[in-house]
Amino acid sequence: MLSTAYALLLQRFRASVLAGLPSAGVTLLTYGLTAALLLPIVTLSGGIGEIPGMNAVEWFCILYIGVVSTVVAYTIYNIVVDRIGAARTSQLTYAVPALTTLLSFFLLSSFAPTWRAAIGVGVVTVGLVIADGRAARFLTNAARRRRQ
Amino acid sequence: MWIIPCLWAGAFLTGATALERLSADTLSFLRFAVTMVVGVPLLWRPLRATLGAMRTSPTARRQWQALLVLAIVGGVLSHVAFNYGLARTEAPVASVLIALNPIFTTIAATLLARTQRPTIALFVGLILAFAGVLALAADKALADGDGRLGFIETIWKSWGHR
Repeated sequence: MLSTAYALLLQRFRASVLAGLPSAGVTLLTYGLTAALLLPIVTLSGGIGEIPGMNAVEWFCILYIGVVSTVVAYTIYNIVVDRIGAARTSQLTYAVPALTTLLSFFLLSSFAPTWRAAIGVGVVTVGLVIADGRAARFLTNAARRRRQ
Repeated sequence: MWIIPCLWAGAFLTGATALERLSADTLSFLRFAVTMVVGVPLLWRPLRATLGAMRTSPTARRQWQALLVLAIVGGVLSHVAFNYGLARTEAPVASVLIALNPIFTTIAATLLARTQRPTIALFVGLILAFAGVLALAADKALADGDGRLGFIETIWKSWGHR
């Protein structure tokens, strides 16, 4: 719900008060403000005390989330969008739940998937593809091209 | 191009691993702090252009207010809530729930903002997606050893409110 609210607010602001500003700059400023807002929260909650005791694995996880899955992934994402278009690139997000399940199975010893979980991930993925509608349009257009 | 969903899927696993000892707010803070440290030098040009345009803009005050609202909603509240939930459920379940975002956004855009038209495909897909979430929620509840839970309790539990 919060992500939805964020997406709608961003859409609204980009069309009005933030129109014309570079999206990378807007994103980075939002991240900077978020870090600045979280600092007093983390300090008051005592979370800041967890940082000195962090081990190498935890630092790797933070660096992965902060650098690889954010900066690197979105840089590649933008390159792919330029090559194949935003519509086709956004369909890559459908693969994330299935890939997370697979990676969890191989990398997390605590995760043991069941047939119910596998069915759940599959049904959600099919539902997302249908709801998006672009896959259906793509198949319809492909069938039309084949007939011509 | 398949590297992108692989990198994003990895974020759920690394997040779940980090949350075994770190709190949700600490992980959220460190994530944005690290992104800033690496992102500022890499994206210095667009950042400088943005700040320059805002400095000369007559609506600079409103622009900063908009950025603050985005940071509170999309940064602080959204990420702390997400990490809080991720600490209490499995990474694949969290990834499925996050994957539902586009549907929620489309519904909100249709009903609230009225910027999109509702389609049959949207509603069919939504029903299927929720059926899948129910299957995942039931799996989680049964794995926790309580097969007698009602549907609402099941969903509630799977979202981490134990």
